Amino acid sequence: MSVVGGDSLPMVFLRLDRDRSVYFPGDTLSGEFRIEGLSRVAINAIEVSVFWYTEGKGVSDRGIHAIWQFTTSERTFDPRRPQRFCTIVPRAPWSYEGAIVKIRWTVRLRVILRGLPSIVCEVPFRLGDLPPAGGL
Amino acid sequence: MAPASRNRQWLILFQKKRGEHRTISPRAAFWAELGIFLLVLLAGLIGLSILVSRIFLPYWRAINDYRPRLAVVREMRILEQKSEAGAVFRPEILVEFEVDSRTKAAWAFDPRTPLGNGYLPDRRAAERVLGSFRQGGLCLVYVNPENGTEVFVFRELPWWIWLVLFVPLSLVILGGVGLAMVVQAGKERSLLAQVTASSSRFLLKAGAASSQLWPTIPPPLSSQDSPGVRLPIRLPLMPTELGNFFGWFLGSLLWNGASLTVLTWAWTGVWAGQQDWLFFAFACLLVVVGAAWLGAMGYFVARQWRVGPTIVEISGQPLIPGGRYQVYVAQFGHVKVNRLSISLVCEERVVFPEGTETRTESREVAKIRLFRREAFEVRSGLPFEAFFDLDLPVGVMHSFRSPHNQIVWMILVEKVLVGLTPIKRYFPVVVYPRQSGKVTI
Repeated sequence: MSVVGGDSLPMVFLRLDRDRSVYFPGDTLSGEFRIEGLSRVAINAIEVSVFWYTEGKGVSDRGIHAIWQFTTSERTFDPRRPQRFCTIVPRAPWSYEGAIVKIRWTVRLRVILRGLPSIVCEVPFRLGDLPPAGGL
Repeated sequence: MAPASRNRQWLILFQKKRGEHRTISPRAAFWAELGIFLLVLLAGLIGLSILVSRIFLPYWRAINDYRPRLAVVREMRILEQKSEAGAVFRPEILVEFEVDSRTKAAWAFDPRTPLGNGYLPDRRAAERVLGSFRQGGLCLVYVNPENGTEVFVFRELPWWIWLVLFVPLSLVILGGVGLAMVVQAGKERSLLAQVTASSSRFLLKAGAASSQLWPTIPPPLSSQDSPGVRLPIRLPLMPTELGNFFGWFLGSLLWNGASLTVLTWAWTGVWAGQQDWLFFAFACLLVVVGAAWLGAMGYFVARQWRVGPTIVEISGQPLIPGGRYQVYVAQFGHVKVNRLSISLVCEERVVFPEGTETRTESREVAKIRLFRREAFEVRSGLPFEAFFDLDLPVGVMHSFRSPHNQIVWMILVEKVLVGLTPIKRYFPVVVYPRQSGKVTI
């Protein structure tokens, strides 16, 4: 679970259903988020994305696997109630800890506010269980 | 673990990056590079056409269309023509010859000069030309059958004309090859853009990515793409050495073209009596460096020829972690081998900005020994052959490709040879992720 905010600020909760953070291709990745301290009208849009990105010496690359957009125009939408998302974990690329290339996966929640900076909350996870490179 | 290696991307003339700021767009860079190579090609073609039209074409036309006659030299003169650009001089000889049993006389000249039509830039050069004729002596002239007063006389061409020919030829090769490479790179970039665009559209659909085949893994060669003789798939040779050789070859062409131009210029000065020996010595030094460069290229070609080609075939692709595959290696040539070792290597490659440059770096992160043989000889017509197994461990990363990051698997054939520097040849393979879930490593 990842929580952003607190005290007088709005709080954003993002969590995956599984306790373990390791997933394998074909697994179901699901979770939910909720937002407290913000009214529906203050939110422009909410975006949840599952993507990989590279870290290391090279320029960072990114590939989006899945993305959901929640619009707050519907009267029934209540950000304080848990909103669910679900996808099938793809076959590649696997999470990787190399010498100059690292591949990471994450679920990102982005709350786009009206007239204010966005709030971003992330839960990283691993695709596969590869050991760090350099063992061979 | 091998040390990091850095390479400059030699063909990228534009599209440099300053931090995250790109100084020029890829499309603009494509057109700018295209324009530069087009200009180089154009300069070469213009130079070549001037040389051909002023030096070689007049001779070719004369020996084909004009009548050859033996003539007697009666008089000599230098014709001076003044213009805004300065005076030019044409050495001419008055010759007597017979046409249809009648004796005729006409002023003859050699039309093959850099300025064209027999004109030279200075009087002393014209005097030197006349010095090669003797009054009362005989010479071969070519008479225009339609205009009996147009008579050409041809001297032996100076040796440096052939050096001058080398300059536009280098420019034509450099411009033509550069143009082809830029066009090819443009095609690949456009293809990549199409693939990226289609991937992006696709990836935006939640959960649908699992039905798409490997957008981040390069496609493996099948037995239909590259059939082998002993095993189903023949692996292609990664053109690392060849690519470097090509770059050095183009560089040597450019260097030698430029240095020979300077030498010709210096020699013309010395020939015309302006004895600038320091400049001449400098030009000679440039040519010596160019010759050494060509010598090094010759050594490379000789080394490749002596070592001969290497063939690597494999029983299947893509490789799956935990799988066993058979590999066949054949080494041709005529060479004594101290040690031949074959490994499966994994290399990480990245592209990153450094100052105003775009650099690449690669790092070897895994090396699995497959085969080793010491002290043997390969003879012409009798290649060295070996079959062995490749057991891919379970816990290895799959091949990966994104615009700035790559994980590449290759079969590396390393040869330590008698009397030659070690040779490495890489044959890329594609590794897919394992299909089952968690395993104990």
